[in-house]
Amino acid sequence: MPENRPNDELLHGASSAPFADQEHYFADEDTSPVLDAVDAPDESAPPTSLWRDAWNQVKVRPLFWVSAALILLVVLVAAFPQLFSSVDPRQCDLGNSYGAPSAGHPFGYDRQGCDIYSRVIYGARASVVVGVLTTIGVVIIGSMIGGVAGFYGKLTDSLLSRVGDIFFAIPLLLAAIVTMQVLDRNVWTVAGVLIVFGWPQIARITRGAVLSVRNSEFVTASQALGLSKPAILARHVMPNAIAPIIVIATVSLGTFIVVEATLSYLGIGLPPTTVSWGGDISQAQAALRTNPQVLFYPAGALGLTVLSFMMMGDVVRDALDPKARKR
Amino acid sequence: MAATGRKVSLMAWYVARRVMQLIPVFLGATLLIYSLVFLLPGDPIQALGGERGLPPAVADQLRAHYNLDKPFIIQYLLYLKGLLSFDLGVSFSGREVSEIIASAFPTTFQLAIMALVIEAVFGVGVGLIAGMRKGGIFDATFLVVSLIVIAVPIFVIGFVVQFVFGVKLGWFPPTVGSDVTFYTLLAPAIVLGSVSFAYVLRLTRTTVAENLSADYVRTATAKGLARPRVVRVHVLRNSLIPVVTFLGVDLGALMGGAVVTEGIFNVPGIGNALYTAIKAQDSPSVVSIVTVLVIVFLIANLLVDLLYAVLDPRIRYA
Amino acid sequence: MSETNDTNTTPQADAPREDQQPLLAVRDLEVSFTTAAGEVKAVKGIDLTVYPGQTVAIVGESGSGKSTSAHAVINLLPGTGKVTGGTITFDGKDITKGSTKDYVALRGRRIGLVPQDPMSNLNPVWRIGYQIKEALTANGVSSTRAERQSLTSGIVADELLSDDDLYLSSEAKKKLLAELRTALGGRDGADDAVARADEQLAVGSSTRADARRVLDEAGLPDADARTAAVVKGGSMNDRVAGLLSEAGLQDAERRARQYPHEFSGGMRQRALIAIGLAARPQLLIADEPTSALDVTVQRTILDHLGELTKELGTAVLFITHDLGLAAERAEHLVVMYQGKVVESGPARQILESPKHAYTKRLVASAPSLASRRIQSARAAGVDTEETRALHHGNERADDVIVAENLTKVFRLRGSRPGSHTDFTAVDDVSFRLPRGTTLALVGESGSGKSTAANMVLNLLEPTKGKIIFDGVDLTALNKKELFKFRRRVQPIFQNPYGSLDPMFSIFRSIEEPLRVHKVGNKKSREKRVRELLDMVSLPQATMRRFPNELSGGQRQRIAIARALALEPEVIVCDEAVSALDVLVQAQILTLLNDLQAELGLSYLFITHDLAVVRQIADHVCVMQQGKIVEQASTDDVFENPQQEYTKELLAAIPGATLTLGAGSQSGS
Repeated sequence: MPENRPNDELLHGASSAPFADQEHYFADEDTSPVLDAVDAPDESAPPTSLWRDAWNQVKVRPLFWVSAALILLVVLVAAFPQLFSSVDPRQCDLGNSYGAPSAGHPFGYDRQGCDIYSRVIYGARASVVVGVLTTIGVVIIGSMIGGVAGFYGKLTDSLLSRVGDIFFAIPLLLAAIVTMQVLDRNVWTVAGVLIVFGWPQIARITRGAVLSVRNSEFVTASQALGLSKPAILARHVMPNAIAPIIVIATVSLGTFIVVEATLSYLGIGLPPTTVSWGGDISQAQAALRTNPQVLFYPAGALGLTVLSFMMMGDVVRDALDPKARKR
Repeated sequence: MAATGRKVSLMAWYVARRVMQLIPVFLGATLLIYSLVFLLPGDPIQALGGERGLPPAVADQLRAHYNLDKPFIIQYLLYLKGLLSFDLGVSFSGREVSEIIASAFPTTFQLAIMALVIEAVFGVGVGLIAGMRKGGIFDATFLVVSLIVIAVPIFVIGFVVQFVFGVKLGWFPPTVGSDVTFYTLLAPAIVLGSVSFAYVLRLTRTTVAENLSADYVRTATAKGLARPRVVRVHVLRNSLIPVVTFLGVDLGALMGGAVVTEGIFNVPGIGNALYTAIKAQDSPSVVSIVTVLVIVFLIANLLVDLLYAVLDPRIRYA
Repeated sequence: MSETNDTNTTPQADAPREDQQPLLAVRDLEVSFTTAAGEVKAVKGIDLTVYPGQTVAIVGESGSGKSTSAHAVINLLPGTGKVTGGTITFDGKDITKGSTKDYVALRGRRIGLVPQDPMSNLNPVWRIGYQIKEALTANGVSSTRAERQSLTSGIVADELLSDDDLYLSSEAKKKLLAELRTALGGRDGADDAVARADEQLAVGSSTRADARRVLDEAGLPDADARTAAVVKGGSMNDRVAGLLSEAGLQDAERRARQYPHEFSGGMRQRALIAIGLAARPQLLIADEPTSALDVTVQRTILDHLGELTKELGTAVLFITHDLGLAAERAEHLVVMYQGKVVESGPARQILESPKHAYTKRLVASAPSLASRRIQSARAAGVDTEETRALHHGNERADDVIVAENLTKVFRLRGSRPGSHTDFTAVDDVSFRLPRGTTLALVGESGSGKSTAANMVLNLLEPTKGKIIFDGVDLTALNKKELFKFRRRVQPIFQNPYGSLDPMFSIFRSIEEPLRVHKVGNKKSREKRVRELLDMVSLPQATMRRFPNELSGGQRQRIAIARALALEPEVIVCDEAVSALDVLVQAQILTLLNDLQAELGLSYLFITHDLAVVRQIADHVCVMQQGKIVEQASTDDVFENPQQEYTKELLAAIPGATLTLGAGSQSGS
């Protein structure tokens, strides 16, 4: 049985002689040099900020490059569709209905006899534009409201949060369904509806980020300097709250594209005159059993586009994650 | 004894505060819905008359009957009054809206609950394993799977599932129709819960990975607890908190997705009823249905808040 | 000059002891972490020995590897850490070769851990009692009786399971106290006797033998038979309460049902101690167990811990950054620096004659030791280098800040909507800061010192009272004048990792005050920034960098530079050095002292550490719960403390029991 009670002599501490391996020892100065008086920063390393740090982390990840390449491709297709297809997507010949792929028409023809490949190319613009517009709008409105709510607190916060709750209570799709009945159907109105009902989520994230920054000592130092509250919010607080906003914005862009496609699928999104992936998928539904490819090409393009934004969002989140930055 | 008494009253005040916060949101949301629908173009009364239209006298009578001739705010207040007494008005087709909802709601409710259970059980389960083996093959695989599920729109997933499992493989009936059973609702439930499953998976994974390196987990291990117990008692329990919050908010997404899923699988639920009502510009139905859905969402959020307080004792003092 | 590490014999030359086997023997231990830059060695081959019942302290600054080494013993390294070399022998067995199961059996039962941060180390969703119970059940500890160790007081193995060791259960205690009350009847002092017995009998901790003794003394007839009839051992819950009361927690039975966030910091630490000792381990690893606590609480807890471990015969491996504390609590010291052991040996010897340059610096810089030395020097009437550094010349009576009857009351929201409680953070506080000197506001948490400082900085409105700055009443100023006033008073805060905006380059951070107050033009501002960096002894190239590239000490220098930008007259240092390592702290204090002499600054120094006060302040205000308890010159407060609380604070400075002669500092 192990002996737990110590020897009486140990109880009296230093008055007795030490054990052999506990005698006074000190290391050789050469092997344990003591650093110089004033510790100076490492001169050789280049200056890095949060962004440079994040960039360094991000550029070594293959996922980043893959998703960046895809996004670039999608944006190019949306901006310059004529570079990718010389066929007019609206030029449809019923005679070609469900035609097989041929030279110059790699995806074949859909029910109306339109060239699927061309429609996929030209359909990118609608999705991307809606996605980008919505994201920009949601970020601007949401971050402003969330920032003010989180920073000023108390009554302002209560009020703004309640307003956000009200809009948040109505699910995005339902709200869009109801509202799109009323409005003209074009890119701007669809984006507008999504912005009006989609900002609360960004506002909540921003508010949370602002709350955690608000009590930092550099904020107090700015107050002691005499900086006005709006200036502190704009110059010190918001820039530090940006990281989570960027992450959620990237992911939301993908989500908004999906919602737009769903609206078009339900027939209440963009009008049929606009070439869009959602609309095409909706049309293709009837022929799923006989000609599934008519559905899968636009669906695949849509999925790939959204996927690239989601992957980018993942990569960005990992790079900007404050816990990963051990300093 | 005094300690438990005090704890009960703390919870009671917490509940009371949450309920009070709910009321302005409820009022605001219903007002918003009502005013949105109010803006619907066209004259639904004339539409009832079809091609020939209605004689003005009849039209006026109908209009008065549906209160459409009164100013907006009066209509809204009348509607609120009706709501609180469960009188949801009469749809333009003649049926009581409450009857429409009553017959369709149980189906959608069952569908939503099934979806919720599926996404919760599998999402948390897979997420737990992924979080514990972060960076491994299992984790990477499911990360990709979850991304794909989120990226592909729900209607595409619905089509694919319907096609592959319903038509080609015949594991499920491709459409539901009037045959509403647990088995027939399984495919739509899986589709409905698929996107949320992906989010739950990712959330659980991140939270678990984070909590695994928490200080109190280290203390638990230092006590001499075996790993399975540490994970079960300390990591899982703490990781459930954000997941529970998400599930509550997710109910809203489920209700939105139900519109699509019910359409694809022809489920006689509220989503379908809503879609039909919108197409017919049947404003009483639209307003009531959306209102009921919003109420369900708000109540679900309230329940989630309460559950949160049970799971995290610190919240009761907030 | 290379020195050998031969046996360094002390004047009383006893032969070194060979009679015992070490409990823990660490040899050539290496621990590495995998980072983005490859494998980094945190511990580079250290030797460490702990004998049964001994207290050994590892002393070092952050990054020295002290915590890492201790955690390596029970294989609890965070993240990617692993043992990459050396052996750890516990009780004769090499545990580095152990399997997971072996470690699980070892932890708790044979080696316990008391971790550092009491808030984050307890699971917030489970009750305290539950978390302690886990420690008992996981290690198979009996809740019914105290476990005896053999070989104590000559007891033979057969008598190990004595009924005398059965624990007192909750019901048994109630019964016995009732019997005592009836037996004593209405006699004089009956209530007192019962109350005393109530206090002395601890559920789950007192044994039948203890109960017998206590009740006998209290006057219960036939105590022997009565206790034998009633005390039959306790339940798990009883034992949990017992452990908490052993750790010093009052009202243990009720407290065990509470959650961690309902406990104060000190209480949580006691709960952690209870957990660590629950299974009566042979070795207890205490990782900075009191660093996060107030200094008086620290002393109480450490005293208690020392008593407990002595009573149980537990060996303790004590990790700390405070050399004075280590020397006071441990017999054997190990000093670590950058992953290596630079010096080790008997505590007294190391303190009295440190040999390695690093240890010498530590001894010279540690505030607790420095303050002792200054006291001793002044008591002996000797003028040493340290005491000379304190004279700040300026004895002019001109007061740059006068605080009159400052009061601040906060309204806290109650749990019921509409209800609120008033909390008086600062209660009728008055003090003066003479120009060119340093006034220290000293107090523990909740004393109101930071609130008072915030009022001086005009970040908070006083509820009552006023602040007079250079003859001008601050409360009478309008917005514009207030803005100009801010140039004359600037703060330096505690947390170097939060006081600089991570998005601002160093240049922008230092330049900002000049910009906001529209001083000079772009060129002149840049010149000024360079000047300021020179003043704080940092290379000018630093201005292109960002805070995340700098260490804590460097960031505080930047904070000082920023504070000096507008040429203020007063600087409020709110715990400005509390978060820094000892050596860095000494450097910053020296810098502050030099700047004061150079620029004629006045400092309002907020701190909880009286030892630091001795090194830097001319006058002291001791605050407790919002009020000023004692106010005098530093000399007076240290030599002639008037109030009880001040005496307590002084006694709580680590190293209070060490006696250091005036000449005991071995050069600096």
